[in-house]
Amino acid sequence: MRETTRNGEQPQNGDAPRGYLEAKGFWAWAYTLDHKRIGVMYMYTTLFFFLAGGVFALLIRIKLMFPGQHIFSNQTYNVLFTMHGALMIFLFVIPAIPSGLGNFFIPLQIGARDVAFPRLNLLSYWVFVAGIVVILASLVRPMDTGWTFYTPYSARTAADVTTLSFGIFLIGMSSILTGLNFLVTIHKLRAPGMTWHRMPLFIWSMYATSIIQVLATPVVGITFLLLAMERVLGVGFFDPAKGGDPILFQHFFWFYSHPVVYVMILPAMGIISEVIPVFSRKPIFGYKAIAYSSVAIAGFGFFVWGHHMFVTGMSGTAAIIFSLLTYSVAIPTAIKVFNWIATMYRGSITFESPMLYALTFIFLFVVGGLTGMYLGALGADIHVHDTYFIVAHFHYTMVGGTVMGLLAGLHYWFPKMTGRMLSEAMARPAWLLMFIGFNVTFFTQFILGFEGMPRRYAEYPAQYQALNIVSTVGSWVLAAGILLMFANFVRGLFRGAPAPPNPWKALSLEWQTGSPPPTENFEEIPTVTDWPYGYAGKQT
Amino acid sequence: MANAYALGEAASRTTGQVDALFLFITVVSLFFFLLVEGLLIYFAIKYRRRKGAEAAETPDIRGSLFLETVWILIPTIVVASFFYYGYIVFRDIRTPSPGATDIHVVGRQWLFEFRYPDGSLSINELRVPAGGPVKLILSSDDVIHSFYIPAYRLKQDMVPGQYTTLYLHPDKEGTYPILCAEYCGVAHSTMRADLIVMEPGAFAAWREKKEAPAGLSLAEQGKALVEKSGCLGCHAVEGKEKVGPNLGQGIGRKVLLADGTTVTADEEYLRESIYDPKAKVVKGYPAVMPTFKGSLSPDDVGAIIAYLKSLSGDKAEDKKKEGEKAVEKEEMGGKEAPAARKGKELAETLGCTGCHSPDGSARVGPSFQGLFGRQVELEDGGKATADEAYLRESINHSKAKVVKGFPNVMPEFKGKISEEDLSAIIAYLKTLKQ
Amino acid sequence: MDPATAREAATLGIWAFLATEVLLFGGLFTAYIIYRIKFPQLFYEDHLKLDRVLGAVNTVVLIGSSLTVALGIAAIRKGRVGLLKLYLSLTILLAGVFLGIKYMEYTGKFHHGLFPDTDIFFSLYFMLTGLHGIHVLAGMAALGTVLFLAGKGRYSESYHTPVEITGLYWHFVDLVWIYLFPLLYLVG
Repeated sequence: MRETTRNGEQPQNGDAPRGYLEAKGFWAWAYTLDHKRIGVMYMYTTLFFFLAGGVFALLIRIKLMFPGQHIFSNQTYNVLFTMHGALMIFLFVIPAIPSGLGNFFIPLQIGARDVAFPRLNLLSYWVFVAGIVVILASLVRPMDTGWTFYTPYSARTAADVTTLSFGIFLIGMSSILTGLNFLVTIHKLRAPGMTWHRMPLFIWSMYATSIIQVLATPVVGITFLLLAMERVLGVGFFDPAKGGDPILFQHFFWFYSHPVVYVMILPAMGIISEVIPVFSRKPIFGYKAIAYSSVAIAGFGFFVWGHHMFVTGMSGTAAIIFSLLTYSVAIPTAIKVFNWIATMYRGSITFESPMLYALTFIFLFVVGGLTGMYLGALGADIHVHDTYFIVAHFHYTMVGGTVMGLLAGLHYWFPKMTGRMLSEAMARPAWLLMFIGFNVTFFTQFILGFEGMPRRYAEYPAQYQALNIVSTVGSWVLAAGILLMFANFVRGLFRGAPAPPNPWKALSLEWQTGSPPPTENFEEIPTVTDWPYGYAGKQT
Repeated sequence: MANAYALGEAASRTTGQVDALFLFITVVSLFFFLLVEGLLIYFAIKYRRRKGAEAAETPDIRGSLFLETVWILIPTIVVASFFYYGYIVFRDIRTPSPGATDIHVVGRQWLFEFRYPDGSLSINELRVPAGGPVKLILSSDDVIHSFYIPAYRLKQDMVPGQYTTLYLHPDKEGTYPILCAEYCGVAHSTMRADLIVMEPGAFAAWREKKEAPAGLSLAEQGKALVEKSGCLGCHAVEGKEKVGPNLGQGIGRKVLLADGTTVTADEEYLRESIYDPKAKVVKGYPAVMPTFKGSLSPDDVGAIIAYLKSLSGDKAEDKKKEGEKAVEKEEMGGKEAPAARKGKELAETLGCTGCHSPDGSARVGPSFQGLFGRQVELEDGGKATADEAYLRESINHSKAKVVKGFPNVMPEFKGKISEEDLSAIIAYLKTLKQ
Repeated sequence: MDPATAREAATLGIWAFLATEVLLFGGLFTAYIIYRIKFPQLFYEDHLKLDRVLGAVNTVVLIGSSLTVALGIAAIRKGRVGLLKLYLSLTILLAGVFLGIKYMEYTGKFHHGLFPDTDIFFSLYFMLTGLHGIHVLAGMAALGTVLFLAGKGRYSESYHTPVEITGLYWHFVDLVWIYLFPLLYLVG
């Protein structure tokens, strides 16, 4: 069945899509230097771990319906929540947008033929795969430490933390190579006429993200190296028996892991900044504010790590400083939300699936962000630290935020990447199931946390059971929505209607070439004369 | 102040304070939530393109410096208020209470151990009279745990190798769960204790029904340690100084160090100076104090610190509390229960069932079901029968005969439970024979 | 990409990479600072057990190797490939000497019963010099690759970017040692 585009034009190519997808076979992918193929490989890999991590989540929630030793043991539960966290964070949420969509679209959006260092790009993917292999190898003695690996427990547990540490080190190296590549690409390879203020906002957000990746990731590298050396060589930096300090591990760990949440959210915000103007047919409101706020978030984000450690016994002075700085990051974040909403004012809005997800991002991320207001407040954080309140907060920001942004980007750019259209008829019910399921699963957890249910509990006092059951049922609805959405992707890949070059009538450069693009991206490198948000005027 | 979310009335003043902070943030956030999400939904509906309508014309609005300024300033003021109010509550929580009773709390996988000024000890039960502020001095013997009383809205991590502190104001009678809130291993979710706050009269009456605890108060134990460990060779208690500073100056005063900085001689300072005496030497004294690492255990250090505190002149209230009796683990109300029933309750409250299930299911250690009288294979390859003597030994010296296939992590209860309790537990285990 | 842009891109890339290395070593240096403040006596006593003569020799060796690599770059900027190969070889040789001396130091320490788990000072000593040593090894591999390609006539006056960026990396490795040597061996 052939779908027409919004403006009624018939899609050009009646056959299967060609462009960069032309060359087939294993080596055409495994040894490709084409950023688009590398991006696609990253996308498949990260989405696989999204599903794997999701299966662990469903198991976690099933156990939590019935506290006690039923179904499977507490030790298995501890492994499940550790692997859920580690896989989701390191193998999905961090790399999906930057290494997946970023790799594909940064050169296209800036009018370049590829990234600055294509071979380094390929290397980053294979280092990523190597990291995955090493992480999977550690499953012979699976992790039971929580994804935060706090010492002394992680230095002493029988789980194979040493192998996993090397795996994460490799994943980190892959991140660094990607970040380096993007930084140089954005600086040096923009098309003629594309000044910094004519760049799409997705590029600004990827630039800020790359700065964080380059500066923060080495710290997690050295952290895991030290943890491995603690286990293997008996080095005692984190061992009180040797004069070490277990809290030092937390400082090192969070010095990376806090900025990394901005690696997770900034690219998603960049996607929202692309989608809202297109589907409101109106210029983005506050371009410079949004652009600079991304860089501000990246900068401030380095100075707030202590807010994960308010109850470790840190001095009052340190706690006060971290609390104050934590609130300062909220301001540039809020600015973006206001600017997106102002973009919609007097727009001419349609609700195709990219826009549905973008609006959902704003809605859910505001909840996530506002609940962060409690956590920055010293007196309030003490109560809800290490409870389900925190779990709910980070799922609202990472799933309601990053994942919704990713899905907005996938639905927006699917036609460009694959040359085919998705089915709106499948996309909408999938979205609705996800929205309802997500809120039921996680809003209940704010209440559970406030009522005192700690996190990482395989069983719990009976009073918490009712809400746990509700939350689990929510997870099934969420899972159903996700599966339906993946079914839409699969259908789209094989039977989606051929996509025109510009189904959304967008102005950024990736839409001014074929769907899918040719291997060299553009026949001729365009000369840019204006910013990509000139949507105002009469809409045809 | 009446609290909005507490389940029931406020158990402690901190509950009310923290809940008021939550309420404030909620009300303000709810306002902005409705405003922002409301505008989002409103614009989405109002400016939607209608099917078949004439093509809309959208204005070329690119920004507004005025609006940017407004929506930077207002959120700044809002978050500043959140920060400040949060800081106030935090400051109140952290303010030391004069005359607070010191109770040492040690976390270890997977139980809480409480040590009182009178030298007594209880496991998984913190029993205090209402109205008397308490200073908890927290630490851990193994990995990081966290001491969390949801009803009080308070939490503090328990870190090995360090002390952290938490002040409690037990205002209202009741039993309040204490939960471990930092993941610490397989039995993290069953590492729990109870805070039992009793009306002072009831507390006194309950205490009288107890046997007097054998043994010295914590401070008396500390005094004995100071005498036999050689401290008095260099530190006089009062009067003419010897090599090092006098001990009778109490705790909490500021001292000037050799490197010119000033520190407070609090519990953490004393503990550090005993284990690492060269770290913070007081100015004007030679750096010759030996280290007691390896010769004084953390429990010993806790007792010594209690002793040093008792030497301070203005600690009259603390001395009074020192006379208070034990919070030994005993049956409430002094009911005479058959030994096995008592043993069952002890097995729960002492934390045994955190690791040993009574019903045959697998936890950290062997299940109690069918344990009594069974042949067990030991870690070192030998065999043993789990008879009364074996069980007694395993409870007192758990590391002596570990069953093969189980981790060597059981704590030792020698000196921590009475003979009578030990027999009761064994009587209970007998009843679980298959 | 035209050659000028390629050169600028490579230069920006290597500087960004060096920033990541600063952060990597920075973690260890931070641990050094924290534990030095905590255990001044231990650091004083233990640092005397390090061989300052060997450390000083190694410092001269590494600085010398930075000189040789700089001379190599100066040579290829004038198109003198033969001279480039000579200086690259000298640099690799000096790097090898550095590692050889480190090997002697390490075995000496082990012989005296000083291992990474002996105490915090030696944990830091072995971790810092060990991580640095790995970077020296990686640098030797990079220099060796550049030498090999120079032999194949890949570089000239107009194109020698890989030589420049490898040289920059090598200077960084030298710089890290210049911090390590006084902090570990000299400061009392």
